[in-house]
Amino acid sequence: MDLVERYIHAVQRYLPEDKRTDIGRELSSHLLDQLEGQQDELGRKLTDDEVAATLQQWGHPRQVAATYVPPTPLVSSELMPVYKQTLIYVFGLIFLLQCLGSSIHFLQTDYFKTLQFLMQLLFGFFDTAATAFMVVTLLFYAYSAGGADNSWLLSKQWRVQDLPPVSRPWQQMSAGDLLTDLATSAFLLLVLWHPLWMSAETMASTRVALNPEILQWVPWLSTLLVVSVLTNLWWVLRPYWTKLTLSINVVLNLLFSLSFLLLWFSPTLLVGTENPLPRLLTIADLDRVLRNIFLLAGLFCIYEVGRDLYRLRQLAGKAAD
Amino acid sequence: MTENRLDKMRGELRRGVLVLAVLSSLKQPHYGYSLRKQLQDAGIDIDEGTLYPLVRRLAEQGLLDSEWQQAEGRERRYYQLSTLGGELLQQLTEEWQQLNGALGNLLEQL
Repeated sequence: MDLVERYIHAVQRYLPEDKRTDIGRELSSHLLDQLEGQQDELGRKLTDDEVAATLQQWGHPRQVAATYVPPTPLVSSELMPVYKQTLIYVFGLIFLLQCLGSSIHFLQTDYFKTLQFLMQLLFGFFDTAATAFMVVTLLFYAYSAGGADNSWLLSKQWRVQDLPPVSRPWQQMSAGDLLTDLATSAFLLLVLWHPLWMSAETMASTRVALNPEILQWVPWLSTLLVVSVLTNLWWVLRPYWTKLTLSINVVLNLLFSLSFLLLWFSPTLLVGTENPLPRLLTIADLDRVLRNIFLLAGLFCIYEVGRDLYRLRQLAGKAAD
Repeated sequence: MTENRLDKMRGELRRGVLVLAVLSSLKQPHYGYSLRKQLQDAGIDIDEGTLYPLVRRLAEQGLLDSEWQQAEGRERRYYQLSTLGGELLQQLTEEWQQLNGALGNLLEQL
């Protein structure tokens, strides 16, 4: 019965050490019984080929071992929805930080290469995301394998009354929109406060600066941007459009649109420094581009004000019904 | 419906019932191969890869008692329903009868 022994040893290889002997002993008993039954039916001793055929029917040793000790999944099916949601938020946050990091790097360089910027952003994101994926998966594995109390993770203590009052599909905020708004506000804050983080060398080599009149706008714009970052962070925790969040968004967008349109009206946004601009580029060109950006941003904010007012009306109509 | 899908659904349907069949058969002590034979004779054909690990899991849950015995020059592990297993079998039997009755009524309406 050399083949049976070989088969059992192969199965044992895939079993945890503390179960190898016992399961091997039991498996041996089952196999020998089955082969004996076949011998009795045929009325003769089985050939090696027939024994091999029977063992083949049982399946690959790894498969048989898995039926006795099913492999533990890295993340239990119960925790899978929370695991997926965590990964989405972690990847979103990494992308946001990577965008900010790459943008800062871009602002500090004297030249601009689009492809290099995109490659840096992409590879930086995948590099960090791979590590984060491993860390999150290992944490969930430890949590799943440890058998710890996970009722708080699975929101088992929930009440229907606490569910958000959502009645229309648009009331669910998109994670992408939230992260984009957060990234834009944080980036603009970094640009406005660049003297705080830019090296003296880079500062000395800049070729354009904000017009001193425009600099007076910095505290006001910074306040608006900080409020925008804080509200976005709050909305990440409760990503639903309600009357309150819509009203806040209307006010914020009104103030933003007003600021952007006033900036668009300003006679001069940028001034030159002692460092010359590259050939074929003038302060007036840059000023025009920036002004157009402010116009577009202002118009977009006005569009959002209109959209949110319409949505507020929809919610008010629903409440009246 | 494809044969594959039918096999899958048949497997799902049988999976829960197998526990009841095994517990019920083990009112008398059996070793693995004799249990399989008994089930086969009763019209329930289970492959080894499903039956033996299932019996082991039920024993680990305390629903079966087991004992190694020497017979015909070889050792065999005999399994038998434990007290806890007996109580569970009674509850499962009631549940099965209730379900079977309700399902019978539903199927008759078709």
